[in-house]
Amino acid sequence: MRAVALALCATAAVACTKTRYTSTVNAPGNATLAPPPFENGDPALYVPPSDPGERELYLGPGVVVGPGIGRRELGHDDTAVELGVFLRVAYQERASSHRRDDLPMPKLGAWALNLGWAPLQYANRAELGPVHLEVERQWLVATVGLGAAVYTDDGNAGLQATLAAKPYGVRFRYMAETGFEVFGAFQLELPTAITWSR
Amino acid sequence: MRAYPRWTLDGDTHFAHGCLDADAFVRVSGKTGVGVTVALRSHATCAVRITRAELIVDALRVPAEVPPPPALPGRSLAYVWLPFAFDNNAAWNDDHRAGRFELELAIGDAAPVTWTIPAHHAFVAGRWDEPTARPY
Repeated sequence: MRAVALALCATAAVACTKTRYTSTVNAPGNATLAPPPFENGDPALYVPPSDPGERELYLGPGVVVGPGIGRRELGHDDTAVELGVFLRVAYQERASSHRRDDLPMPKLGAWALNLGWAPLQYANRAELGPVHLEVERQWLVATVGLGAAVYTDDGNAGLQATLAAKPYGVRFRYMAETGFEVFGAFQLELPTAITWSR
Repeated sequence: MRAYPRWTLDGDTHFAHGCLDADAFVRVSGKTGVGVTVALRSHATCAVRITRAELIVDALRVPAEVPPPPALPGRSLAYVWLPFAFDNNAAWNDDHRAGRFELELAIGDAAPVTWTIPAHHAFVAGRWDEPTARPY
C-alpha cells in the first residue's frame, strides 16, 4: 500500500512539474502548396498544416532499492540491502506529436539503455555496490533488461538481468568471483523527455 | 494539440492602384513553403498581370510560380494563388523568420508597380492549440 502511495506521489509530482522539454526545432507543420479547396476571400480561411510527428529522447533518472541475497557468504544470514541510482535513456520517433500534458514514457516495445550505480550495499557492513549497463525492452510499466555489472572496488564482474513491473522488480546477477545474487528492485523513476518535431 | 508557426502578413495587406484593388492572405504555411491568395477586384475592365512575386527572407529570394493573367471585365473579382516553395523548415531552424513579399503588378499599359508586404514567421497564439482557439 505504501509503495502504491509512493508511486502515485511520484506520478503526481511529475504531472505537476511537466518534465518534458519541447524544442521548437523543425516546428513548422506539413503543408502542401496546392490552392486551398475553397476560397471566398475571408482572411480567417487558413488551412492548418498536418502533424509531421516527433522525435523524443527519453531520460528517466531514478532510484532503485531492495533486499537481496548472495553478495556475501555470511553463514545462515547473508541478506543484504542495495540502494542504487539509474538513468534510462531511450530514443524514439512517433507518428503523432504528444499532447501538452502527456506524461513522457517510452512507447510500447521500445528499447532503452539503463545505466546505474549502487553507491550503497549493506550486508554486515556498508560497501559499494556495482555499476551496471543494461539494454532494456519496455512494454508500458513492464521492462526486461540484460547487461553487465562490475563491482568497482574489487573488479568482480558478471551478467545482470532485471525483470520489472514498475515500481516492483527483481534483479539477478551472476558474478565471476562470487556467483549468484538476487535483489529486489523497487524503482522510482522521474520520467523526463526532450522532444522535437520531425 | 501542438500548434505550428505560420507566416503572417504585417501591416496593411490592401493595395489600390488605378482600376485595381487587391488584398493578400496567407492560406498555407508549412515545412515546404508558404501559399498566398491574392484577391483582385476591378472597378472597371482592368488588364492586370502579376509579373513577379517573391518572398524575400534575408538573402533568400523565393519566386512564386506566376499564374496567367486573370480576366477582370467590368467590376469583377478574381482570386490568384501564389505558391512560394522553399525549405521553410530550414529557414525556421536558421532563425530566418522575417521578410517581405514583393509583388510586381502591371496594370494596363502602365509601368509595373511593386506591392511590398512585410511578413514574419511565428507561433500565432502560443505553442499549443486550445480547443476553443482553432482557426475555424
